[in-house]
Amino acid sequence: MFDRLLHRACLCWMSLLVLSASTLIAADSAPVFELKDGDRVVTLGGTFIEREGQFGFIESVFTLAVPDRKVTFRNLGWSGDTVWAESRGIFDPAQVGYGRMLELVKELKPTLIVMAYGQNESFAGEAGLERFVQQYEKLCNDVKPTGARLAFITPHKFEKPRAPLPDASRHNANLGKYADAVKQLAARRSAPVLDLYALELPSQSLTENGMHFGPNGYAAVAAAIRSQLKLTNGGKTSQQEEAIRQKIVEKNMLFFHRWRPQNITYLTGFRKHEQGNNAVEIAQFDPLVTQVEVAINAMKKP
Amino acid sequence: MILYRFSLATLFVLGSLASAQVALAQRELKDIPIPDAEEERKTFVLPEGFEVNLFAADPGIHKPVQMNFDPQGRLWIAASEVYPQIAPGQKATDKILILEDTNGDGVSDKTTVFADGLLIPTGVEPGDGGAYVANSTEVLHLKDTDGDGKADQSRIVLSGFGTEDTHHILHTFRWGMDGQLYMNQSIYIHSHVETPFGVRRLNAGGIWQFRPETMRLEVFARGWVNTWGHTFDRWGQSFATDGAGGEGINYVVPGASYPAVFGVPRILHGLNPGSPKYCGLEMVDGRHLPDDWQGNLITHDFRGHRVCRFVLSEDGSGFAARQQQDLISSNHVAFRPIDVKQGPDGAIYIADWYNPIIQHGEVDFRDPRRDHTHGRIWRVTAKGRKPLAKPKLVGADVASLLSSLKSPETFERQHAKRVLKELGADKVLQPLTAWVAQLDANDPQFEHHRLEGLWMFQSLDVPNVSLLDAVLKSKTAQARAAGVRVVAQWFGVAVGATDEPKLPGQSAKALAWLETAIADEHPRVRLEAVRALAEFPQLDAAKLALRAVDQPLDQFSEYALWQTSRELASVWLPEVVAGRFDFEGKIPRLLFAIRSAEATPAVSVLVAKWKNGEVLAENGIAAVETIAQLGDPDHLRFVFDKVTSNDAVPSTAALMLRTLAEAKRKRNVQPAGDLGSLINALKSPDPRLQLAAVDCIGAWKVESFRAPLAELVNDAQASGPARLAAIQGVAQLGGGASKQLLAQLAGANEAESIRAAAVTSLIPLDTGNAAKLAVTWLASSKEIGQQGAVINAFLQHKGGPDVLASALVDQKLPEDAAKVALRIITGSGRQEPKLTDALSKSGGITNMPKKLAKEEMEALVNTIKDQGDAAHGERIFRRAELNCLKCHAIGGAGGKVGPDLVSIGASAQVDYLVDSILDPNKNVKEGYQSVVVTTDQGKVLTGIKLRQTDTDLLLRDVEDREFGVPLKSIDELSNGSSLMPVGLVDKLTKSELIDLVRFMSELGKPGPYAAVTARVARRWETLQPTEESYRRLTRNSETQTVADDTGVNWLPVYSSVQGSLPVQDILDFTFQRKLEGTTRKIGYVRTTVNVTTAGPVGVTLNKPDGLFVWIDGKQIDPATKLTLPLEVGSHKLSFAVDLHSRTEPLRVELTDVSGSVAQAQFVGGK
Repeated sequence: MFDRLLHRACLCWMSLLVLSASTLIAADSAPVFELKDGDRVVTLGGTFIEREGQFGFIESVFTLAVPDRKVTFRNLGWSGDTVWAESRGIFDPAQVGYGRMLELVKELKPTLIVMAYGQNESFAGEAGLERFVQQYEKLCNDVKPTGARLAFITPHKFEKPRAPLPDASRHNANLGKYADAVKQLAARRSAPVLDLYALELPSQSLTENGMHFGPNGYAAVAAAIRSQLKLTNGGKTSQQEEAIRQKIVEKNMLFFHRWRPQNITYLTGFRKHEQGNNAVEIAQFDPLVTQVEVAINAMKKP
Repeated sequence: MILYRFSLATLFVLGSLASAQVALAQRELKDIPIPDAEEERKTFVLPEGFEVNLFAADPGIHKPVQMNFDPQGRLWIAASEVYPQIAPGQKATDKILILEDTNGDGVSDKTTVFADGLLIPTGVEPGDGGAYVANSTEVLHLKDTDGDGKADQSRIVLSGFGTEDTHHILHTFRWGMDGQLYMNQSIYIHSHVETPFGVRRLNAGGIWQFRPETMRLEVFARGWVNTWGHTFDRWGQSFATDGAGGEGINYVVPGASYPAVFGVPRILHGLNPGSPKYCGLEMVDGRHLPDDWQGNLITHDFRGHRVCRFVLSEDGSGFAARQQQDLISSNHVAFRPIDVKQGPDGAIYIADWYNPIIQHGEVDFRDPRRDHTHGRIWRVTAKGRKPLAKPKLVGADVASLLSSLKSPETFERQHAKRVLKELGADKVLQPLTAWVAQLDANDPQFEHHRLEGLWMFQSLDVPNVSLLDAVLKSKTAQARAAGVRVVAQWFGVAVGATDEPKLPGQSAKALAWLETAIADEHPRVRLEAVRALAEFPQLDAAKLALRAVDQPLDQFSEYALWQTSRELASVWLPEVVAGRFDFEGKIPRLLFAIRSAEATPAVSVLVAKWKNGEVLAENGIAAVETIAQLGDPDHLRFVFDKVTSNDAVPSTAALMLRTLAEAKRKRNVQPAGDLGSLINALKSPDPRLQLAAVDCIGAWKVESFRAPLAELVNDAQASGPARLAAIQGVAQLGGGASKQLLAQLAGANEAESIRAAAVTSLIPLDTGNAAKLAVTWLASSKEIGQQGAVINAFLQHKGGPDVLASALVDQKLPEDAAKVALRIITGSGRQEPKLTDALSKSGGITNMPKKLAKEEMEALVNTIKDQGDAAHGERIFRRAELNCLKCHAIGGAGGKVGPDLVSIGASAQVDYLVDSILDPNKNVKEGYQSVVVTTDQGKVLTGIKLRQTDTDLLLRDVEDREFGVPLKSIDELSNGSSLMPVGLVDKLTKSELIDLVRFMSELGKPGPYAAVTARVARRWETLQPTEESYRRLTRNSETQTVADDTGVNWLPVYSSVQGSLPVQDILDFTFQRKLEGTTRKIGYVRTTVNVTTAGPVGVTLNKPDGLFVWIDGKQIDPATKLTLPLEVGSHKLSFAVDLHSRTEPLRVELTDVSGSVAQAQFVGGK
């Protein structure tokens, strides 16, 4: 009984480009991605991941796809980040921030780690590709001790936005190379990959500046993922879906205050001798996060 | 009477007295004022002719953090009640408010909540149909699309700004003259922002430059602690203030770095060292204000409850900023002016954050006294001058908007440009082009109007090359300088950028303009050209930039060229190395470039050129320094051979040898091959050369010189310095022979300096024996300075303190020697419990920091407030034995080891001051905590961390010396304690302590101890009466003595807070007049004036009686008003003071001479 349910609800991620024949063929042998009951998903990446946390569209799609499973999402996206954790050094070198990131991932006891790197790195062009892949491999190895499954998201294409914004699509050749590298890396690790680069999106502009999705963009990406992966929405009305999305956004904001609180200089940093007493408040966000998650689980039930 | 005698070492420094530890200092704040606006207003003191009214206040508004006007003249306010930290479960409810004075009576009568639900918004700038808002990690654009006055659309424009400290987060939004949005962040912030041009990162403070419509984001300048002020003068030059720095107004060179920057080896400084911290900055001008207020800068001493005013003037490539009478001073503890803007009516609007508590680092986030609800906007107007009619800009036609670009008010010009910009290029370009073409060339403001036209094109981001060409040919240098910056914006692109310039493929045109600009007669045009050239990563740009070396460089232009040389190094260095390029054959240019970029590969080229005879004698020292700094052993050998050749000039050769010895110590590089030819220098009759040779022998460990060195060590007839150098040399040679010689010398019947040097040198060779010898010597030593040096040497040797402690077991020391040693330990910031114990036992000393019970403290605080005598307190503070000024400056004069105390009283509570004196380790001001560094050589060094570069850690030691430790050489880094001694009150009676604290509590408050705005001499030196100085004064002349320092000592002494030097503090010489049978009591003092632009400098003396005056050793007649024609550079102003006749203190002030362009400042520091 349980097995049958599990099978039915199993999600298949792979090359999301489900429309071309070759991909469909590849799909048969591609690694299968599933969201299991009790999964704790941790996402890592740059602005794409960070803002997804603020808008919640993609997370909503996956949340609703498994209405009878308990799955938690912890968004650790950080603007400008790379596989070297260049945005995470704070007062220390990036390397130390990288170590802190690994620690944090470990603390969250993930069962699935979704990584979306390559976009920022792609500005280094062909010349930077090898370094990128090497470091991405290292990152994968470094999170291995958590025992979590890995999944990857490739960079998406940039657009040519309205003038006078620069034509960001000129970066697409490079982005494609990095996307390919991510796919190859995923293949080497037999891990599923969400190929956003190849994702077919509506023709209207989805980004606000050629590279970053706004709410409409995320909604469109989420919708494309749902349709191309043939995910259900658990039979929810659009109002119910929206209510769940808002709860997800609320949960993500609470978790943001939990893992990236303001004033860390005084709470946990080198001036903690001054305000470290207030660091007790950080953990007080945990029950608040859980509380909203309980609500989300109740709301998504079929 | 209670005597506070807790014993302990001499009261030495006020090391950690955390002047700026504002908030911690506020912990005991008890007098929370009644938050009545009128009560607050009554405390305001304004200059004659100005008045202030309340424009807006709570409950309508609260906690204004930043404000900016929109073109309609409405005032937008970012207000945060959530600051400093969102609580679990708390909703982010912060707001953007719009205030409007609809009937023009100078009072806001309409408040709109434009946006709600924000998290600590710290910046707001209206524009593009809404407003840009700093919302913690992101910049939002909020827009009202349905016209109900409330934002209904929110777009994330940029994200990735750090939030490590909520009073550091992105702030100080301001549109530039060029239509770009400037935004600041503070020191603890680390930002990582994705843009279509790549990720932009800024770690620590700085100013961002952002063009919203293209998303181009760059770093405009780096550094500062809290860059809470940024404004432009009418020619587009940038100025900044620092809410936690002490250098007043900063002139901002594009791309430059300022104090507290991260990872940059060199920085520029502010124009007013010794200032309190300033928040907010606005240039004011226009018809509402009097003539002498045009172009003035207004900022806030928010801790001292003052609104301050500065006058800018030209100073070489940069500026000078002179402080004037405060616009507002107040003693209201909750008056916190933090932002300032000039309004549409020409009035000056001041945002008053209204809070008795400031900062949140030290006062608890949840402290109930924190004010979350109040806030005021004050409006200052000139009496008898009508407020201006609000310009009608929104809805005006293009022609009228263009004529607004000629307005005398920057407000109108800037907002007209915003409106035109938002109308769009389609509607504006054609009329703008026509407007520029029709400008009247005979109008005295013609060139400024034309520049505004250029800026309008720049705002539209539409290049106009012919207009730019015309502006670059302006007669007004300021217009040319502004034009040069536009050249870089339109034609250039930074090194390493992945994108094309705005106008690609036209760099030849740009370089032709810059070739003219680099030879411009005005230094600022040259500076701008130097910085602009960095945006052209090509060889020709490097070639042109270095031409700036041919003309005089000042601190700003020299820095600009240093930076450009480095930024373009990837372009010129390979070409220089390949021999295809040599900066047009000009050695000084090549030297400048190599040294700036630390271009090691180019040193061979330099040496080859020298061999070829291309390096002239006048460039010799610079060339040697370059080679010593960067060269390999063969390069150094080349210099060595030159220096040791027979035709070397001794003085130059000595300098060069020392430079070579430095290379060994700093980089462990020494000349290749046999160094026997040093013998010539060692045997030189020239003592300088001889000393330099000894220095080299030690540094290079030239074994063959052991015998001559030992001979010199033992030669009692040789000069002291030569013997001391030889002792060090012997120690560096090492081995048993050295140990034996040094041990013998340490115990011998020699001068204390020789014995101390022998002990010190022996420490690394044989610590145990050195410790034994040290204890024996300390028991009889009389020279405190030597004792200190020996103790220091043990402290600096890894494990040294414990070995010395063991040697002290069961040994007796004189109490004073033990006290000196304990004082040195404190000054090292280290905890050395074993040695402290041993010294205390040997010297029979006990000491503990004093703690007061709560009731005792309350009683003491009350007594200080009721009975403390601040004037007497100042005399105590100045006492030599307390040595307060050795570490703490007041207004820039004094040591920098502890914080400047210029406004400590305005921010610190009395009990905090008492606590800090009784137990210096209780509250150590951030930035003044010492660090202890152990190097791979086993050296242990202590200092206050100044900053870190890519290669070095820069520290300041207890003697106020800055020094660098190569990061590579650091084995261990740990925090030390306060450098301020415990037991400061040891020698104070209770009433003296009361008076001392009362004095400190008055510092920076309105009254006799407020910060002084006049340029008075604060740092003096007084001639020390010694045998030699008496001899010089009697045998030679006074003039010769003040002109020549050789053999005499000048000791530091400082003016009082009010700016005059009490005659009692001048050391006196007594001369017998045998014929008259009388005596003459006289003292000699001098102060240093730094001149940055030459010309006649005014010097005003409070009273010339009983004075003799010299400038640079040349006697002049004393008078109340002196006019001295001074060249650029440092000048000594010396006085002989007749201490029999003169009782008035000596007050010397720099004043302006009418018509003179001279810029001069007294030198501060220790």
